[in-house]
Amino acid sequence: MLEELADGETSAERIVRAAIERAQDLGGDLHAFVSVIVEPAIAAARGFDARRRNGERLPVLAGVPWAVKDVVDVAGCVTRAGSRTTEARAPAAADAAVVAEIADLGAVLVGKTSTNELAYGGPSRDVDFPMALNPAGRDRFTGGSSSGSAAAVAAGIVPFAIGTDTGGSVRGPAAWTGCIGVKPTIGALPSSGVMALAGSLDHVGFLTRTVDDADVVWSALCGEPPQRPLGPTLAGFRIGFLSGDWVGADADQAVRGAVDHAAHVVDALDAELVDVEMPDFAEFAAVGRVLIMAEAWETHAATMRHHPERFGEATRGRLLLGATITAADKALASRSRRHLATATCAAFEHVDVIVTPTAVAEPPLLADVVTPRPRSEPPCEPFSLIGSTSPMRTIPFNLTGHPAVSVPAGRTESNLPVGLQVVGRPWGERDALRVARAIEYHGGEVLDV
Amino acid sequence: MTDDDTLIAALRRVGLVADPAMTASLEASYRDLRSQIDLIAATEVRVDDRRPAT
Repeated sequence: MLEELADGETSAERIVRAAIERAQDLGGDLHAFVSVIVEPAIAAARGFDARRRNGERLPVLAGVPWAVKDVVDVAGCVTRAGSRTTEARAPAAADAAVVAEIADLGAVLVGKTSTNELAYGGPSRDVDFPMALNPAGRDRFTGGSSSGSAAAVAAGIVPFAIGTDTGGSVRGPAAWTGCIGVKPTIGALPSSGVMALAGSLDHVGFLTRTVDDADVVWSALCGEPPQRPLGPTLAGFRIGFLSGDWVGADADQAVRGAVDHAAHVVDALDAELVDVEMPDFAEFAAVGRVLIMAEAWETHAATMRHHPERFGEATRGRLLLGATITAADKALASRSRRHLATATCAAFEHVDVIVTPTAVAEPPLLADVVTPRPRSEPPCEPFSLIGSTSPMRTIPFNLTGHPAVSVPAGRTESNLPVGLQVVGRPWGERDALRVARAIEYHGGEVLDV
Repeated sequence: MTDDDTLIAALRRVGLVADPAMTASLEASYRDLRSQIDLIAATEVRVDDRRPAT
């Protein structure tokens, strides 16, 4: 797209108009967007076209359409975060810092994408915003909470979208819809103007359709030239593949196959495979769940105490559980978090990147996990992406802050996407992207939506 | 499990009352959460055991 724009083969206006049409038609069908920005986007695109015709030097992403999750402020828009609790909010007075940064790079915002309630609940039928559907299988859960951003990117509506990731909310939906999810090093992308869920774990991240696109976006955000083409060799890379409960005995066969295949691929590209020891995934999962639930409760306690009815059932339930976490519990989890981060840093003394599944199971049927449950069913434990039985393997790197990229790595027997997670050292996003590029699965990635 | 170990009791301790159907549906999640907190505590003991004496 960038080359076509630079060569004059197309115009920013044409590209942006096409993205807007897709957002309105297909995006509406998938419930991927809560709002589509039309006139300001077309005006911005025309402005870039005029400047290009005048021979002006343009910012690196000039004319590229993008979307942002509706927990991020956009000046003049009400940030609804998929919740009735935000009904009375005023429009944002200013863009969130990350929106302003991307605007400075020339990308053209075409809409705000749907989210599970407050980046925490769902999938829910009892909130005012419909759930984003999974382009890879509309009867399947998209994952959460950046579900609209994932659906918009996976369906080819926009080439990239911003999401947020507190326990895996960028990487999980990326894996289950078949696109790339990048959770950078903690704090790398600014969170000012982004609605908090659990402040010490919240990350701003983004989704793209290919690793090459992710490299372009990341490089632009860093003010560096892209690595393209991402190298054909991985000589000099030391790569560790985690096993044990990081994969788990119950993992989908296709996930196991993807891990084995990825190891074979990087070995063939001259990377060194290194045995690496990490604490059990279960320890990370426990600490992550306690801290997210405790912090989410702190974030929303005032509204919960006065207006619990404004939350959807799933969010209300999770917040109630968080309310029971004591200060002593949280202190215990915080101490453990420090031990786990130290152990992770120690592991990275021996490797450059670590590879794990993003999720060890395929996306569940939406009917099996949506809340509220039908009245005919007995009360049951609500589905949770951060519970002890969650298939996600993402939360450890929210605790430690390491950058992690989810990359499509195959398909299950039901032809649903499988994602692997490539984790780098702090500020090692480029290494993670290089390895992700090597194991990126290309077969069947053009989704029939 | 005693009455003190239930979700309803834990919520009452922080001044919250939830409807019985909801607390019933969350009871298993609450027990799971408490078991994860127990796991963290047990792990911390193991980590402390591994740390050299000073």
